[in-house]
Amino acid sequence: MDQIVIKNACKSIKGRLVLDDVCLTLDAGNVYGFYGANGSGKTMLFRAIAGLIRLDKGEISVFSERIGTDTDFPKNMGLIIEKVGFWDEFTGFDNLKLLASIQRKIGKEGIKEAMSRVGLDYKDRRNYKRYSLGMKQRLGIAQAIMERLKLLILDEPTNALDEDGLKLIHNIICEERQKGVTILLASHNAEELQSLCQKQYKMCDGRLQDG
Amino acid sequence: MQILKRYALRMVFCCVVTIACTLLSVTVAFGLWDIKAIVFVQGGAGLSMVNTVAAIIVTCFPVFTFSYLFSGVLCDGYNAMGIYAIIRLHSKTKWLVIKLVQICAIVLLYHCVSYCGAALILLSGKALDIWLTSLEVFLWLLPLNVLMSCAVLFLTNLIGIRYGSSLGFLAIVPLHLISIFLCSGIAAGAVKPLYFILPSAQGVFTWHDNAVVNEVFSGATIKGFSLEYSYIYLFVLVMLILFISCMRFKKTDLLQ
Repeated sequence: MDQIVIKNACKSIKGRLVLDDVCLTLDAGNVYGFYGANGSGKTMLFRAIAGLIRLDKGEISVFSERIGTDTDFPKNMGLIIEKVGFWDEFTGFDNLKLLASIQRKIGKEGIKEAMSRVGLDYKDRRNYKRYSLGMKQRLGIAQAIMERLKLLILDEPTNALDEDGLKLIHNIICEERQKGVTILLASHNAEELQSLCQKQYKMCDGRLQDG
Repeated sequence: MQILKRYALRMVFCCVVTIACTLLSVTVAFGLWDIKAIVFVQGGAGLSMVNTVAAIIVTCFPVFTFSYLFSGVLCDGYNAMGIYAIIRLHSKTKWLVIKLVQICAIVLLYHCVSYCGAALILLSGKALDIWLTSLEVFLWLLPLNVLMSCAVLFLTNLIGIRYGSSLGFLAIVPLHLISIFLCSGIAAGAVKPLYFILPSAQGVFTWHDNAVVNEVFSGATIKGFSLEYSYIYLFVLVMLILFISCMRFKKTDLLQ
């Protein structure tokens, strides 16, 4: 069955335990929320699921593939994480075109559609460095959703977004869920997650607690 | 294509600097703007210091400029949606290899353009036989210089992605300076194995062996050195750097 299974995941960075024996099974097609204070381990858990960091102990399998052994990264995954940028001197459209050219799953129309979904104008000739924080966040969301997905990992996707942006993201999450995409959503705002998620988990000092 | 556009201005600048340095070194060493000086003239003992200065100008400054301007290719690529590209490629090593191949392409383009530029200026109005001899030298030296620059730029970029591109550049400065210092003969009594293991030393030897052929400092005075040795050594070095960096990068956590 399509599941994300996390078994006894442990990870320490510079002597600090950031994931402490995390065990979790998530069924496909649902929206799961993770909340907790800054530094509670949400982002590290997402990075581990996405294959960006290697566990010291335990294992993670995403849709029957073990991360780090069967595959480096989950297939068909969309991802938004903090502190990731784009090429400053290219337009939003050109940045997405570069990324889309790697897998060639979508063409220009697909990119235009993704940009429209997040409320960005694909004809905008401004370079990425001229984008506002909100626009940068929207572009990040566009890159995450533009290709056919099975798993969508959103780490604080509503950061820097205004009211309209929030509604837009909520709509996108609902649409993707209807398509059967498994969505993992992290936020430090538990209320925000309540309306969107089937199940919520609280992270505290690298440990997982039922929300 | 867009990546090429990004680096186009830096490439033009590097080529102009290299061409200018080549012409300047010819002028400094021989007092004339003539490729014959580079290809045919056998340097005498009187040229030794000037020759050293020429070697420093021609070898060091363009390499420093090139290394500095392109020390962040890997770092920039990683910071600007590197993560998004890596997850789409499903492999960290694939991304790294693609980036290192891009660096090789940058190096190749740089050497081709700067060599051709310098040759065009120096050879203008010269006879066909000089053109052909120069072409032969060009074909011999190009792979060697490309390999040397690849080794140096790989190291710069790999240090740069871990500790920042400025530090990556700074790390290779001593490498070049030691090479120049050793090879110029200033430290004639220095440990000889160093001649053979410093990538930049290969470039300097090439300059002396094939371009100036100075009796005092030429590679011929060092037993075991040859152009073929340099080819093999640098090729193995580049492959080793590629292999070790891929192994290390595969085990590295992204975005810690």
